[in-house]
Amino acid sequence: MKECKRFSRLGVAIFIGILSGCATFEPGLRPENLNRPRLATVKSSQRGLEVALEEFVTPTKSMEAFDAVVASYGVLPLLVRVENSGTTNYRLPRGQIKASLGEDELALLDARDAATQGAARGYAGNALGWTLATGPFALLIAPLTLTASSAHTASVNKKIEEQFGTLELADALIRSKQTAAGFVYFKLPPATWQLDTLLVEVRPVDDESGEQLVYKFTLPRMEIPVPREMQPRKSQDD
Amino acid sequence: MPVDKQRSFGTFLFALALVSCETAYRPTLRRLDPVGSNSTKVSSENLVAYVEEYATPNKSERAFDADLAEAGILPVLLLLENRGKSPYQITEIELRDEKGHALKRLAADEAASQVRRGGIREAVGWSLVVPIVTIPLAAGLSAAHTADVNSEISRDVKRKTFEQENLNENTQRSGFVFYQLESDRRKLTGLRLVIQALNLETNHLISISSPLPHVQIMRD
Repeated sequence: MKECKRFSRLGVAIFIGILSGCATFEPGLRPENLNRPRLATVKSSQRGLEVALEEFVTPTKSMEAFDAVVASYGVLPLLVRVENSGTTNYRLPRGQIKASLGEDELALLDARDAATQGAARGYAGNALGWTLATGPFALLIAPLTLTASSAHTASVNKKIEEQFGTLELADALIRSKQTAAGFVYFKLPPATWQLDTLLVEVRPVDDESGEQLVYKFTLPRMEIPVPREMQPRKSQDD
Repeated sequence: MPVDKQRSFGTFLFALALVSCETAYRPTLRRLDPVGSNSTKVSSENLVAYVEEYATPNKSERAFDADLAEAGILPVLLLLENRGKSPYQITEIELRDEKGHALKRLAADEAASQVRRGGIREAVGWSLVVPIVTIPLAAGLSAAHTADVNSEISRDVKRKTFEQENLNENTQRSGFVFYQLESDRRKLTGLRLVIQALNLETNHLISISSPLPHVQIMRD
């Protein structure tokens, strides 16, 4: 009798664990909100085509969009918003957006790579959480929690990839009176904790004439938080 | 609560939790604008066509959460724009090889069948994890969940498929057309998308031909 009660409780505990685990990735920014006017970090307009950039390096903003401070893990997310108030159509493939830090051009990451590098959860950490949640049964069902945790982590990672993907700027044909908005992700050099000379170039193409417009932006200086696991350990003498 | 019911309830919740997240369908492509780096723009009269292949795994997974080229299907994203004052009837959209032979065009359902998830496989996989008594339960739940996901896939692929209907003046339409690739094809080189359209005012038949770029097809 007691065993059955335990078994039922265990089922409920694991169920709650999985459900609460499924809710670990909860960013606030939705794709449908991208087209709304936002406070740009820099913007410029030519021939009725306005290009605005917004940094998402700041922890609060990064958490809002990706539920993680992705810049600390080498991913630079920039929100690009292009509004066409002119009469001509413009094409903007993502490849026409380039960023450089000092002399080095930064590689463009696709959404999946950005998600993997910037926010994907570790398998071991989740399994540990599960083991704690299952309390006295931890050792008994350890293989089960590990396997289920692995499956659950894969599911969360898929959600993270989805978020990065749906927020990503798609190659866009921006017609007159239309707007395109989304993120581009760049790979930062290892251990970059400060962005001093970040230059971004955006080159939309006039769809009729093929002429390229060139927008050059210098972003303000930004600090990137060092993740806790990379901070130097304090010695006992300190 | 009786003992048996308690046991069943715990087992049910556990099995339900395990099968719930596994077979999700999550494509991320939001705009059907074929203007990426491998796209082409060609026109005839007042009809303009933008064409872009979706052969690479990255692009295909963004659009359909599956690598269709690996399964022998080539998705081509097409945007047709009628910039004139008379409507066009789109009579043909063919993908022709080097010899001018047309590749088999697939309906949305046929393409979707390559994206669909296999419920039984996942259920059997889970049965290795969950206690033996829950196998029928896990299999049943998994099959039901997979059926839902597959319906969602069918709807999404259909919604993204190009509708070959008349194109009125000053309108545009975009969507995917799907073709069955030959089993030995490893590159898109030599393939071209040919669109034929009839001007419904002048009865003039026009043809637009757009060569596909040199893209390697990843297949086992």
